[in-house]
Amino acid sequence: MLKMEQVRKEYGSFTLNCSLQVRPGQVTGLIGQNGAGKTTAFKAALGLISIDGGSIRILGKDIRNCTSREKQKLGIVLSDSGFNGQLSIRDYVPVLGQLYDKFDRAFFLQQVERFELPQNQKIKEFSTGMKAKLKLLSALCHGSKLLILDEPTAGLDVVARDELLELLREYMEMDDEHAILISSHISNDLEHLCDDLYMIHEGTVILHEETDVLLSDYAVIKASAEQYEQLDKSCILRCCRENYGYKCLTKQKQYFMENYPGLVLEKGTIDEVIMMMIRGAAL
Amino acid sequence: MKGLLIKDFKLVMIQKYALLVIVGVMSLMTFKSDNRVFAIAYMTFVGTLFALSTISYDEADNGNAFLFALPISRRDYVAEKYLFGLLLGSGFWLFGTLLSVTAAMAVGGSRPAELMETAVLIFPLLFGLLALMFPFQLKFGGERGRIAIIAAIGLVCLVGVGIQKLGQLLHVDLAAMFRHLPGMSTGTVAALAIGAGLVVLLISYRISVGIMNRKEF
Repeated sequence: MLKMEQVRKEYGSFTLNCSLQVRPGQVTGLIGQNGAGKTTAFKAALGLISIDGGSIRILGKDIRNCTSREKQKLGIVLSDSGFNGQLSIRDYVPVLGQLYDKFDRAFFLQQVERFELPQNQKIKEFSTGMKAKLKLLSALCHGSKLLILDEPTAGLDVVARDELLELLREYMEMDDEHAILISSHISNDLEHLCDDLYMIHEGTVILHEETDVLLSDYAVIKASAEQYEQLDKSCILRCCRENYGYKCLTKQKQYFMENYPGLVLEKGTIDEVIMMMIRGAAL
Repeated sequence: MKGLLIKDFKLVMIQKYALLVIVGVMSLMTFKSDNRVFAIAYMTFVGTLFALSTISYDEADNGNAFLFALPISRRDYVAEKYLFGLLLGSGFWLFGTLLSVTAAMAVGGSRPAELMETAVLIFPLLFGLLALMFPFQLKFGGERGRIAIIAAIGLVCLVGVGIQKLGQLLHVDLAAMFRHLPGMSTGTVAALAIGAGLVVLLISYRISVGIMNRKEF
């Protein structure tokens, strides 16, 4: 559905160096801190910015040759851009109807009603949650095959986030070929939704893993200095010093559980893995 | 293309109160003063400004990023802007002409036929305005674009003065050339002006497409 290979983009001192792939039927997450390069990667994938190297294929076509026909099959949510706030939903319905061949007006208006979005109010007067819902609804209402969602849940409360994630689950159930690329800095959202995760830091993908593997096989080891000396370092991905000794990230939870009975092992959550991948040192 | 036209029409309609004030003032001026031609030229100019304002609305709050993620190519976007400018400018020109002719018929002062001839000669001005303004607006955006357009108009005036001075140096009587123009029919002059305007508009369109293709959002 989407393949970015060695994509490079330079902005002064910041360099994006990113490779990722979204497969049909899969939800792929992109996580990282603010300014890590998530939005730049999304904009590159959509052809909104030029790239200095690498290649991007979307729905089987090079992004540079992508036409309106391919874009018809994409549903887009951008974190820093959206509908013109001066217009209302009622204004946008005929616009979307003309832009998308498969615009489902009835579905769109039904969802607008479901989420209690006012049709005649200017969009600039909407709350953050209402704007986010509108963006997502517009991405879902025209038979898109691939959703590219940059921080769709940013600034939302727990209930609104859950509603949006439910919409995404419904979208994935509609067709086996549907796929989503989603970014968020709220790891909990991605943990329950994504099949695989890319972790990006300072413009570079530092980890790619299936979510199930990440949650089952990754662990954080908390070891005293003596315990640390005896650890098998070949199985440690990152390590950092703490008051009590050492904190280490491993992908071999089972191995350490079986071979180091006294060792404190904590289940690897996405947040922990991010923290360790960024702050820890490679051995 | 049609979707963008609908969007731009709706963006113009949110300025409907400003538009009503302009129409009211212009109607009053046209009926009260002896100058009936001003309304035609002014309304044409206002039409291009309203068309231009849609570019600023598109750019507001980084809106272009979302716009170009929709099934719209950059070439389509530029083509739509020029088409919208032509449609809106023509509409305003037509309104200005009808206003002038109506005032002439109701109050007198000018012959309606003469006014219509003048209106036909003013119409190509629309092409020149669009051709000049759109590339600057697309290149520099809202605020800087306005300054750039003022600078460009100044530059055009300077070029005009330069051509006049060059004519004097080369002993070419430009004034005499223009004096010969009335020898041609209004239709011929208007057709020539519209033809030249279309060429300039086409060149401007190509420049604008180049500007948009280089832009990053």
